[in-house]
Amino acid sequence: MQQKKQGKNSEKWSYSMLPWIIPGVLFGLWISLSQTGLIPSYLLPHPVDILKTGYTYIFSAPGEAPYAGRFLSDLFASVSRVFLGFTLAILIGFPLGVLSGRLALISKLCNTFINALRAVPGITWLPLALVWFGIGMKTTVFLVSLAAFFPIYLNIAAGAGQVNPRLLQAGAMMGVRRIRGTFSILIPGCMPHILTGLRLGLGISWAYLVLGELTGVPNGLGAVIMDARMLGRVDMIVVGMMLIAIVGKLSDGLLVTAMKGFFRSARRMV
Amino acid sequence: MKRAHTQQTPVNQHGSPALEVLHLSKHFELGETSTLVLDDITFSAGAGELVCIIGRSGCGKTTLLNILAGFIPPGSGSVKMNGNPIERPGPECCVVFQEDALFPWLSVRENIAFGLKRRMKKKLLDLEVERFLALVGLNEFRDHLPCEISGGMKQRVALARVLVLQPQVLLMDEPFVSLDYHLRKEMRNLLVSLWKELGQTIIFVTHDIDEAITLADRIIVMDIAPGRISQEFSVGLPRPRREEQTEYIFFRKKLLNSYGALSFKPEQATTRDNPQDVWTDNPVSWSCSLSKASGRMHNPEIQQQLFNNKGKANGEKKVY
Repeated sequence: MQQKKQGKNSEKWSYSMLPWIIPGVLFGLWISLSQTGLIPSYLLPHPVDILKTGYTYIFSAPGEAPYAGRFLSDLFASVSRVFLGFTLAILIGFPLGVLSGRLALISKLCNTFINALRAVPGITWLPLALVWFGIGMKTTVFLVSLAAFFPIYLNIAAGAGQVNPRLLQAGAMMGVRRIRGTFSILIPGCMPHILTGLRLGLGISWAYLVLGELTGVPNGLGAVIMDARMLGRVDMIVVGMMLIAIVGKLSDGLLVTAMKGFFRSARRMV
Repeated sequence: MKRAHTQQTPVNQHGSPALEVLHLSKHFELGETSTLVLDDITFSAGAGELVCIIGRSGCGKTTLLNILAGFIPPGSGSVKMNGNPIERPGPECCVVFQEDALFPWLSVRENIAFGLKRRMKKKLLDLEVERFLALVGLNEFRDHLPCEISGGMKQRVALARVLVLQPQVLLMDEPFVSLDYHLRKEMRNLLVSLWKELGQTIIFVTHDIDEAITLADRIIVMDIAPGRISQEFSVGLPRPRREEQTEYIFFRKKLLNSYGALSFKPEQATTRDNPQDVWTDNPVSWSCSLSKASGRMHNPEIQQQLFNNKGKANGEKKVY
């Protein structure tokens, strides 16, 4: 036992390096390809150029160069759109999912319609959303909440349907009836499903954010990418993609941490 | 609290038995077909009595308990506790389930405290939980999660979390069936000592004959398909009971003789799908036929061996 523990400690460093191996290898490959000129810079710029562009985008004073210093305002615009859309999706998807998972009537009522709606690709909603909401915040929020709704709803419905009925019976015999049982047994009982649904929903929120921002809004990470494409700034496109990857990953981590902070069941079961 | 265990059904202050089941029947509908699961069950349990219900798998024991607990409604007949019909589950009539039904996101302590919340003040609640943690011997494991403790400990938590509610009737659905031999014995002793101290009425469902003899004041034997009560035995043995006592062995033999003969009627065997399953039964080779009949032996070779042994024991030859 003691030995095993020691072994674990000595392996700790290499173990913590594990997630960085794949990005590291890809980065090395990229450098070598760019350095040898196998890939021309108009297809994929040299990593050093990317870093420079990124630095300018994030840290330089506005007006110094194209895109200089726009990062914070773009980030704020994008994050607030994702936040609003994602919150809206939770507000509708969560209660509906719980109801549909527990009540055959509700699932019968909703599931056909929701599954048909789910088959419609999000991008086909774009023209309609533009007509309804115009260019800007509302369209993006609409697209984000629509896209995030489905994974949240489906996962929570599945989770609520699969909660061990013995747990609910145990609660009932201990005097915990429906309303309290929903909060103290049902929701903790399907917490792993809830968290999965929320994480998938948040991930897809970022995808649809970019879709919503591709349509001529002035600010946002997606808007920057679209703008750079029109100006032929491939380096800026790559910077935008990387920043979305980083922000998306951070927001996922933040979501998991927040859930674990707020819910004992998330802390102990996920 | 010490009580004299009499042969008669004791009654409580209300003048009626703690639990009374009258002509209870239950059908299960499955599509077009309707299966009779419980057929005219009538029995009662006095206050503070420990009644074991034994029967083979599939005889409707769990269905009976689900009805007693108020989880499913009775088909016809009535189920009464202290003279009042049981309409829905409640803390006065609690269940220890066969499988692990602890809340996996709550620690041992929190699981035990779950039912008490909103019933009493925090200080009092803490005291009660402490008391029952100690009673089931889980003080060191108070902050462990259910996934971090053994099967025996889980069942002790399950026991404590209902005992803490001080139910008048405790229903137990083969709670020790997944535990090993020693642990099972330990848990039986624990149950008996808790029962002596707290004095609930206990309905204990099991398929283990030794478990029933060790625990019960009274044993009710259920017959299979449809479930009905075929026999009742009073267990007059002194406690603590040990399996090597002469009275114990004698009682066990008596129980097995009637129980074995009842459960393995030849005409029942012929109704099975496989016509090769037909054989008569005698109490001598009871254990062989139990494993055969309960479907545990699917290996044709073992079946053949059992069959041969059986033929020898009966002094007759049979051909498949």
